Formats: sequence, C-alpha cells, structure tokens
Amino acid sequence: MFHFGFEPEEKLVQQTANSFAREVLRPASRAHERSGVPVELFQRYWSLGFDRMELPVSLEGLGQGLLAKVLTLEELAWGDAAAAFTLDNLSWLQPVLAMMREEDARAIVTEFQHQPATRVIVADGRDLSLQVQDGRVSGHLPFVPAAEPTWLLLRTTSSAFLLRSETFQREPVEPGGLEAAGGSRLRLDKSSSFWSVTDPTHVERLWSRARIALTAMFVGVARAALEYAVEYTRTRNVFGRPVAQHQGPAFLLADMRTSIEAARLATWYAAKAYDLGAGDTARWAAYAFLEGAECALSCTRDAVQLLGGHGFLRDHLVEKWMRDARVLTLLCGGRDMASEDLLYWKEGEITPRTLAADTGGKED
Amino acid sequence: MLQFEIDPETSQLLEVIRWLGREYMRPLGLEADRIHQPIPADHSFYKRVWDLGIGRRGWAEEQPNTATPRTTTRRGVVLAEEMSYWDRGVAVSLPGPGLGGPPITLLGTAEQKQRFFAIFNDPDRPHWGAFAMTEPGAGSDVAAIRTRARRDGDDWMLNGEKMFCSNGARADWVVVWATVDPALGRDGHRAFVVERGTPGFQVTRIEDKMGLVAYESASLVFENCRVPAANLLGGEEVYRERAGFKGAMQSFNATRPIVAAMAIGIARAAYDQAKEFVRTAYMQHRPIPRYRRILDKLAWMERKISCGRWLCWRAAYLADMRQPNITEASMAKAYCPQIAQEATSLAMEILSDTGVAKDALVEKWFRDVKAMDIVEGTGQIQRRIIARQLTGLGEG
Repeated sequence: MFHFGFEPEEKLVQQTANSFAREVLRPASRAHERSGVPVELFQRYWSLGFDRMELPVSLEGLGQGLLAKVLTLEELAWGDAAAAFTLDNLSWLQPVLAMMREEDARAIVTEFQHQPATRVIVADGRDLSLQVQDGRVSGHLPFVPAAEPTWLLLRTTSSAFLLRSETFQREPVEPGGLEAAGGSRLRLDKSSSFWSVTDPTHVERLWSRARIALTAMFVGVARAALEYAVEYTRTRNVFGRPVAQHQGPAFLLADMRTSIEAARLATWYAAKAYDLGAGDTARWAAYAFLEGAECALSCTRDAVQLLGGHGFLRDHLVEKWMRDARVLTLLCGGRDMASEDLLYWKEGEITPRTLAADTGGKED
Repeated sequence: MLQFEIDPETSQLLEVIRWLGREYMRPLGLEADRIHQPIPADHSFYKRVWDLGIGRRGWAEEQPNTATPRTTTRRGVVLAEEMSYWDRGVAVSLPGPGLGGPPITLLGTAEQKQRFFAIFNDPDRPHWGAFAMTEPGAGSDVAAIRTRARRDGDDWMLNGEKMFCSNGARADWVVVWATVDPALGRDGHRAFVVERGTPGFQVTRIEDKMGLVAYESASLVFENCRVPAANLLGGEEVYRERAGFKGAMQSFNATRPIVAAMAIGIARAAYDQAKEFVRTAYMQHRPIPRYRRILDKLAWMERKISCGRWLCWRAAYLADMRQPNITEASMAKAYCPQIAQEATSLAMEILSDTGVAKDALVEKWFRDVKAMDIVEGTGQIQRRIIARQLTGLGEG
C-alpha cells in the first residue's frame, strides 16, 4: 500500500542538507548575493557529496536516486535558493554521464574533482530560433544564470547538446534575481558539441531530471518564505493582535502551506517515477514543475505581502526570495514550455499520434 | 520507503466498486437527480450490496494489531474516491454505520460497540447508522450546538434540533451530539446513540438539496427524548477528561481525507467525461478551433486531481501510522473540493452547450461537488485549522 516514509540514508542526507542550509547558506545569503559564492564553498559542497549523490560509486558518486536528491535540494533551497542553484552543477549532467562513454564521463567527473567551482547551465533553446547544422549549433541565448558557465546543456526541438565554454562567447549580464549565480548572454556560432543525443526518450529523461530538481528548489524557497511570514505575522501586532490572528492573513498562510505540500508531493511522485524509469516520467516532471512554479511564485509574493511595507525592504529576505523564485521558475523553458510539452502528452492521449495534425517533425 | 502503489486486496475491491458503479450507482444517481427523490431504503440495490458485504464491515472491525501495518484509512480514501467517481450521492446512501461509526469506535465501550454494530451482521436486510451534529444555528461552529442533554434519574433527556443528518430517516440509530451546558462550550458536549422509535425522536423533513439527491439529508427533532444512560458513548468517565469533543474531532481527522477523496472522485469523473468528449469531437471534426485551450484545461485537471489525491493519501497514511495529521487532513480537505469545483466547471466549459443539459453528467457533478467544500468543515474552517497549527495562535 502507498507509504510516505523514507529510508534512513535518505533522512540522513536530508538532515545534513538542512544543517548546511541553516548554518552556512542562510546566514551568508546577502553576502553571496553581493559577491557571488566563494570557491571554498564549492569545495565544501563537493566534499559533503551533494553534487555527486546520484552518480554511481564507480564515478566517485554516492549511488543514490533522484528522490534523495530532491529531499536535499528542498533543504538547500530553503537556506538560499540562489546559492543552492549556484553550487549544484555536476548533478545536472547525471543522466548525460549515464548515457555517454564511460571514459568521457570519468573525465568530466575528474574535472569537477579538481575544480568544484565548474558551472553547468541547462537551457531550453526551443524558443530561441537556434540553427543546427551538421551537429553544430548557432544562435543567441539572452540569459543564462552563470557568470562563467563551463558547460552548457542545451535542448533544441529534437536533440540535446552538451557544449564546452570554449565553443561559445559570453558577455556578462546583471540578473534581477539569483544574483549569487551571476549571469551571461551567450553567442553560439557553429559551436560544436562535446556530446549530443537525438533519441527523444533520452532527451526527455535528462529534461525530466532537470525539471524535477528545479521543482525541489521551488518548494524549498516557498517553504522559506512561508516560515519567515509565519514568524513575522505571529509577532507583529496590528489592531491589537498579531497579524496572523486576523483571518485574511491567516487564510493566506494556510493556502501557502497547502500549495507547498501539493508541490512537494508532486515532486516526490515525479522523482520516484524517474528513479523507476517509468515511461511517463516526462509528464509527471512537467506537472511537478508547474505545480512547484505556481507554488514558489505565489508563496514568495504572498510572504512579501504579509510583511507589508517591511516586505518591500531589503532588511528582510522575502524580497530576495520573491526575485529568486521569479528567475528560477523561468529556467528550463519555464512554465510555458512545461505546458507545451504536456499538450503533446495530452494530444497523444486524445488521439493516436498518426492522426495529429500539427505536432512533431519540425527541426530547429 | 516512499511508495505510490495500491495493494492487491484494495485493487480487487476497486474492481468490485467499478462494476457496481457502472451497473448501478451511476444510473441510480442520475435517476434520483432526475426525479429529485432519494433512493428509497427498500430499493433492491441496497439488498444487493448488503449481500456483497458492503456496509457490514468497516469501522466496526478494526484491523487486528499485528505486524502488518494498519491500512484502514488508506483503503478508505481509495475506495471513497472510486465510489464518488461513480456517484457520491449513492455512495453516501449505502448501508452501514456511516459517520456514526467513528465516534462509536473511538468513544464507545466494548459493550456499546457490540450492541450498536450487531445490526451490521444481520444477513437478512441492510441497516444504516447516522451522525447528527449540525443544527440550524450551529454548522461550522460545532461548539455552539444547543441541543440539550439533561440527566433524569437513570436516563438522559434530549431536547433540540438537528439537520443535514445523512441517512437519518432510515437509520437504526443516530449518534447525536448534545450539550449538558452551552456555557461550557466544547467541554459540555456528550455523544448519545439514539435508537429509532425512541419516544420524542422525530424526523421532520428531508432537505431539498441542489445536488447529491440520491441520499436523504434529514432534519431531526428531539422533544423530551428519553435516552438510557447506557447509550451515552463511553460513559461519564470519558467526558471528565474532556475527551468528548476531542473524540468528535479525532473522527473528523480520519474522515476529512475521505471526504476530500470523494471530491477527487467527482473531479476525475468530470475529467474523464471531458476527455472522452474531446476524443469523440476531435475524431469527427478535426481540428476544432479551441483544441489547444481544451488540452490545457485537461492537463490542469489531471495535475490538480493527482496532487489532490496525494494530499488525501498522505493524510490517510499518517492516520494509519497513528501520527498527528490535523494539518494534513485539513490541507486535503481545503485543496480537493476547491480544485474539484474548478474541474467540474472546466468540464462543462469543454463540453460547452452539450454540458448544460441536466442529463449530461457534468452538470450534475458541477452541482454535486459544491457540497464537498461545505460538509465536514468548510474550506474556511480548514484554513483556520491549518493557520492555527502553523502559528500556534488561537482565534484571538
């Protein structure tokens, strides 16, 4: 029968992540926002094993599933979503490493061992009029959340490409959220890929992992906002009693709590499907992404609202979380591409693919 | 270990419900709605389900305390969703102890359980139990009930009115909540089992509802209704430790996820109906102009239905593990009816003009599902509970 307990090792990594988030990430949130995440923290993150949880033991990994990873990411993003996003890099390549030749995978892992501050960016290029010819990609990415991306995992209409920084040009961009990660715009000019995949099942798998991991961060930042708002509204008095005792704010808090729970369960379900290799993982990943994104956007916005004028000030972290959530939920194609992918799934349910009038076939 | 599977025994029960639902529940629910009359208690359908064992087990028989984890509530939410998928009104009308079961199980003495649950072993004809808390002047604010219980010798005298008592007119007994002193609030509450035919106990009206017509919601009156002390659930002792109200609330914590799952069942029915409509329409007139918008709506429905189901499952899981689930039960109850109302409304939009007619099931479900946000604590009450748990603050 269905069961909502976790294995001892899953609980352990979750607790470790919570401690790291509480003691390291949260107190340094504003410092990271101003100056970026220091290299020493990348080293510590690597040594704690967070970035290689899902890798097999043969590749210096911990051999855990995505479920354990999402438990971890929620905690880390609760501490500081921007720093968590910045620190977590090799993880994005986990499905890619599993698909590529072992010696290539080993070379990449070794690079991270020696340079833990190596940044990986995952981007959806389906909306960007990219040109692909003879396996080379040309086009323009207006924003990626990294000051100096080393690897770019790029999805196009029917393929995914892994490109190294030597193959593209970058210009700095100052982002409005996720400042700790930095920002760049990238120009690709017949950039050759280190690795690529065209099998739709493989493309979907790596995209599902990216979406599910991001969703765990959405839940984390939403939870941070809720807890901050609860504490503030418990202790701030208006009209003679705590804000939280007035029904309007109380209902808002209740809805925040409920939306977090729904998004968290959707994330768990999708992560479990991914770990089991379920055929419809992509659908559940997209659903989780949508539920999580709605949750993060509304909870962070509502937390600012609940703090009133104080919420608008940088004295409190809720304004940062609202901006972080906005940028975070745009990644991997954001809600629009998740919805588009679901239309494809839904169309397949409604009518056999051969009868579909307007799907598939169009390359970049 | 995190698992989302349903066990084989529950899956088998689901198959039985699917058959019952397809063959009987949905047609009966539609017919009751059409003639605007509850299904009569002597309808052959009830005897048929009684013979299948439905209503003859459940709350009366707690699973034995073995090494196997308890699954009662989890099974309850799964089956409740499936029953309501076919017809929530008919599901509530099924024989059995109904909402009266949990308080007897939780508060009753061994002798009371044996006495009141014995009827559910009768092989000859179906029996019903019922639960009466709501009054004309006390709905969500259950602490405000005014039905009085006064000690009179070896008996208790009940005086007051109840309403929205499901199956209250056909029940062999009703668990009636009354107060020994309204000034005591929740501390004054007592639960009595009042048996049919007790002098002073009268059914005065079957409520005229906009949906869920298949089961009767009764108004009851108690006028100098003499109830033996042996029918006070748990005896006097239970209430000295303020367990009376807590007992009622505990039963709500177990049943809220079940009611939430019922909302999910109705939403899923609407989703399936809408999807089937689109499949047919699309095959005939392809492509229809609003096709992408329709697919978007269907995707929204499937996502929200899934999330709602998991909320119910988690709350039920905690209940089975005997872990606190007040917040989780209320979250399920706040979320599911809300998305189910939207889902039935969207289904009507997808069916468009076809969905307006009363014999189109989506229109019925649109009316039926509204009650899910009202019964067993309105959505607003759930939010108060969640907020209170979050902040640790009372109502102020």
